[in-house]
Amino acid sequence: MFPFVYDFRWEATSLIFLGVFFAVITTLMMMVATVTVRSVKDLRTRKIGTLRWHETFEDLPAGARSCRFAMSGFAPGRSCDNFFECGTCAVYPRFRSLEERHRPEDHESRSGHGGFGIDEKRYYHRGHTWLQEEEDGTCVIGLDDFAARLLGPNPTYQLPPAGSTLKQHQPAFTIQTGESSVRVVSPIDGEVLEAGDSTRGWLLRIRPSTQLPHARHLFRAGEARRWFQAELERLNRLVEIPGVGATLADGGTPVDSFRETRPDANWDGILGVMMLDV
Amino acid sequence: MDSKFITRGLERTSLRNFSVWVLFWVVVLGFGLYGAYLCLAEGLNQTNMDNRFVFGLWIFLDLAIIAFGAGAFFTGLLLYILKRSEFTAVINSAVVIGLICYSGAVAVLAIDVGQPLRAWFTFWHPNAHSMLTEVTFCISCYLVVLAVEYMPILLKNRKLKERPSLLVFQHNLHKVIPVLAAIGVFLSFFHQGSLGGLYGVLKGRPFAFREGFGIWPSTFFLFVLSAAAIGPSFILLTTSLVSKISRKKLVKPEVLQSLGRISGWLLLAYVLFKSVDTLVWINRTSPSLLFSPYEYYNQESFGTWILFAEIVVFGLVPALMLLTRKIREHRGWLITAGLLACAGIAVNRFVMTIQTLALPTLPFDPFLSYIPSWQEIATFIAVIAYGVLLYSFSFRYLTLFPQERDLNSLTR
Repeated sequence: MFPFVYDFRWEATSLIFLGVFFAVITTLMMMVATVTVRSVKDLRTRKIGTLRWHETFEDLPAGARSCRFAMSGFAPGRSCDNFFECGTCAVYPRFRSLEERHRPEDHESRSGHGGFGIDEKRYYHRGHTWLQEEEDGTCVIGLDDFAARLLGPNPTYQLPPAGSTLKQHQPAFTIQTGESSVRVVSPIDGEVLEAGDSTRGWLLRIRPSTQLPHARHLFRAGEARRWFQAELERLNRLVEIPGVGATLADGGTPVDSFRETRPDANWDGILGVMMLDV
Repeated sequence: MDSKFITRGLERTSLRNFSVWVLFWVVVLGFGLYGAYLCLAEGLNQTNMDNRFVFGLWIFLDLAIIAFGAGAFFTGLLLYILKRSEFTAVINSAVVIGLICYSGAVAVLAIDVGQPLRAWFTFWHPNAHSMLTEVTFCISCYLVVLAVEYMPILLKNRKLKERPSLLVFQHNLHKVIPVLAAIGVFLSFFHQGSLGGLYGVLKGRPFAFREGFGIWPSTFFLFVLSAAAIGPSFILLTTSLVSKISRKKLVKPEVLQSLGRISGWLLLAYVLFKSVDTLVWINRTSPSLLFSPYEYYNQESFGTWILFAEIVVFGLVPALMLLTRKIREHRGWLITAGLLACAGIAVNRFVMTIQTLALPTLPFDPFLSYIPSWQEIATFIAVIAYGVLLYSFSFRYLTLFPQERDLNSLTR
């Protein structure tokens, strides 16, 4: 194998064969070493939050990654491949202008569509949170109506203390319901000013790093209406409750707690898949 | 109880059912390992091989499962190099199957060689002129590649990925998987070929000897082509079997049909080359060595039926089935075609190993017969049990089929 080993032969066949072998081994070792060095660097530069979101995004079922313009019918079947970062999405401006020209009513406010409470003043995030701008420039964050019905009665919250930093798409707080625990991702970058609770109508008050109208990845009321419908259809497929789908079609309202309609379903899995914590 | 380890959004059987399943296979594995231990501790007298019949059940198993494991390298080639993204749906499963096949083959080889503690001699004092040396080097390297490819799948376990260091390592490792896939293709090409070349160069065994190109006999290329053809079929079969056992839809039907179609084209090419190779061997190679090819098929056990079965029944028929859209779209027929194709390659490997050694080559040679001992069979079964266990744990705790969450409800 090596020149110093007994019986080593300086001949072309041996040299070619061993050369290829050592090239493969060296490539493998270099790769593992590079991966290790990169990992240490990533850990030191605290990129872990972004990486976790990217990993989570890649693991989401295809149904959860629909492009917002697929839901509006402008890009049928299109999946998001940009980690829901509409701000850096190449196709966003084109589809947005199309949408504004052809469906201006989508940006008008509506409320209570499909039985879900949708507030015209709020911005909605795909992790089932909403954001509302207050007069003093701060924002409050809460769980949307869909999430409330998913979680069922009396969930408990583990909220971050004042002064904590929130990063968009990265875990903001945790909810415990039954035997399930789910991490809720932050809809926007910001600093936590105050923790609330469900009785106050919101869970966190934050100072956002971005002004909400510039946060392209958030849904306005018109889009949220379509998105809720898509989410309900997705939930329907997961739990196979014919009644839930029918309530929309016939103009009924969703039940207060989805769990009660199908207690035997795997609600831990459903919560994770619906709330982007897979 | 173990639900915190199961990927969120996947539904798995209860821990009790899983434990019973695992226990059964652990008992089988224990029995197999006892047989393997006897062979290692007591020597080759525990087997029915001897100085004349040196290749038996184990070498047949090695050649067959290494061909079946080709699904890992070939799916990697399709996905990472030819950019056929639909195969993302099966790549994880293909890697696990490849790892099982190659690690099983290496374990059996260690027992077959009989001196596992001296296995490093082959690396330290390599004979670069031997195809077996190339096989040893390539299989060892490829096993390392498969182990590295398995790591991102393993580290994506729900609990493991909670650890930041493992998550980051997994993320970065995943980025270099295309390079690993390319290395895997390179290594697989050579060791699959050299396994075939091993027999093709046996000039003293006219039944196996073949002419070829340069230093490579035709069996080198036939083994590469047959392994590439059968890899997708084996992935198709295992996916269907796991789907049946777990009662889950694991991939979209189009993915399996696509695997079937690719397998069909490659199998057809293989059958054509194999037919030409057989005709050349019958009309030129064998007569030039003073053997009438029909002598090989005068033996009671191995008539011409085996040649017909290998090329037509288990070769041409499944190839045409897999290339017929209506048959591919029928799940039952698709699986039947995949099964026939895999059986065909198993027959080919059997012919190359067992039949080659059984046939007499000298006027005074008898026709040799060989029935494996229970220890050999037990070792064979141990590999199957090991594979079932590793796959079962991987299926339960890892995400082998990314489309599964989209295709199934989460009801119990």
